[in-house]
Amino acid sequence: MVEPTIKIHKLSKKYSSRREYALKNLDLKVYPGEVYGFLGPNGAGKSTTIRLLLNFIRPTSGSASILGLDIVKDSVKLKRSIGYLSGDVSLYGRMNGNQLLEYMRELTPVKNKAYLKELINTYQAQLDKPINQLSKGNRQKIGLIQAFMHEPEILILDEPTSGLDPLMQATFFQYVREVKSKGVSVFLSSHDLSEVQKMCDRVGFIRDGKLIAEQKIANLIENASHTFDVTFSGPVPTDIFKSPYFTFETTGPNSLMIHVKGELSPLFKVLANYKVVSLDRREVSLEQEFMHFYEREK
Amino acid sequence: MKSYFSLTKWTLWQRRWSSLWWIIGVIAFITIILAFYPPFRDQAAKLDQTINKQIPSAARAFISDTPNYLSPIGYLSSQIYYLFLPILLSILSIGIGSSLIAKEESDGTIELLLARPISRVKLLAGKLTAGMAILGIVSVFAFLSTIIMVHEVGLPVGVMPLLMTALACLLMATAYGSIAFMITTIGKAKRASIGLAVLIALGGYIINSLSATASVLKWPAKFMPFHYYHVAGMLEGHYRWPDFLVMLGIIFVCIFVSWFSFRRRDLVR
Repeated sequence: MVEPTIKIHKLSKKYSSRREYALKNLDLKVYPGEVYGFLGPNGAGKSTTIRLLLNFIRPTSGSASILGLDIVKDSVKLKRSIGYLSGDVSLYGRMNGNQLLEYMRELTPVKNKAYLKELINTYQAQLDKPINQLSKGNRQKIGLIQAFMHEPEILILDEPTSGLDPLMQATFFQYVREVKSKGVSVFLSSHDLSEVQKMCDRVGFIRDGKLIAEQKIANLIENASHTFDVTFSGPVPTDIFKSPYFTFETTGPNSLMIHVKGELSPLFKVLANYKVVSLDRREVSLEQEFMHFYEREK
Repeated sequence: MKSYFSLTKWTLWQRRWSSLWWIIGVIAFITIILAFYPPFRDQAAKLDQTINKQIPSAARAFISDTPNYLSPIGYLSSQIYYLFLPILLSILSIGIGSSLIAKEESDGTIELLLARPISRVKLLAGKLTAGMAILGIVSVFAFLSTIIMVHEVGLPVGVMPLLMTALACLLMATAYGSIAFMITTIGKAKRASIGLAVLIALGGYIINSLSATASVLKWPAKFMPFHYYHVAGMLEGHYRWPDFLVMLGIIFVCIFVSWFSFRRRDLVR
């Protein structure tokens, strides 16, 4: 049995300034080489969880361990193995990237200078300009480099692709895949569903401080409804609406959008009775699944 | 240990320009004040008499702790060590004390540091060392410029009394800065820390000055750091060691409270 790298047990946090819990009885495990996406709307408790894991704030109750070390008692020790990127990446504005990375290197030495060089080159980070003169995306790149540069065993990333252009997002996904293949666990929070869909093995949905669902991405996609755009040679046949297996949306006089849950063969059986000129399958939308979870919980 | 030095080094680096301007400002202030002494020197006794006649005794206590304002010691006290240099160093000290942790916290950069293998105690120590180093460096330049100018204008005051007075001034400013530092590490906002530290500094000065004529204030004055700051006596070579210990005590208590509260409290965002 593989031991989880991050193990959270009934972790709760209540801020003294608020009446309700920011996080309530969170139970969660992340395994080696797993990319875990933590999804939820703003204020759901994603950042609170991350800040608890890094001992920036203290749990009200419950416990958590990373690599077998307690997040509170062994906080300093375990941070040798953690790479962290905060949500709203805060760096020293008057330093340039080189100075910031040097500072961070002095606090956590890098194992492999060539890897750092590679990160800098791949992300095309601007390191010679003061950070306060850089765009959000360029600051984010420096934030990502400082999180990855000491080759940590665990990556905790809060909204990691925020501000990155699509090319740099792809670079980031590539790095995540690379570290994952080396057994690194990645715990990332996001409300960008497509990002989670591309990267994560498992996803947890959090709302009002409670984990409301946890799913493997593969299962989520498997159980998700499939959407097809169908165009007929003539007007949409009316008797097709009688089918109990699907849901429909008319998109034009000759076209329909059909949602199918589960097996696809009934759809093809029905369509075989008509003259279909085109059939396009839309990509599974995790967003819809995500919304279903929330609607069910409401 | 390396990370402690890094924290100190980079904090100093971040404040290098403001520290340089402080050094220049303090040197300029002392140089100008002392350069103006020679015209007063020959008429010091007469002018002192006039001042003592014209200004009520309650108001005189706000200027200096000696009635001979224009004697060499009186001039150094009234123009530099009693009020103006302590004010300057206290502004610097409170400014540093209130921002060392609070600025990192409000900017969010503290998370960047504490996501590294650094204990909160080490972070406090590194930051505090940097703050004290800046205050110390500015004070050293203030002391050196005083020594040079005292020598240039021919003030008959020894190096040791000047050194001890400068040290007392530095300790008092550090005490105010420590109070501001302590308040921010407890988790209160930067503004609150500045407000309270300034209140203690200014209140101490006012209460202590008024206590010379209002005996009812003598007792509350004892709770203010300023009460333990006796410039004229020190410039005459009368060092009151218990006063130094009181200042050091305030600094240590503030640092202890900072350590105790900061190591466990939630970081503010």
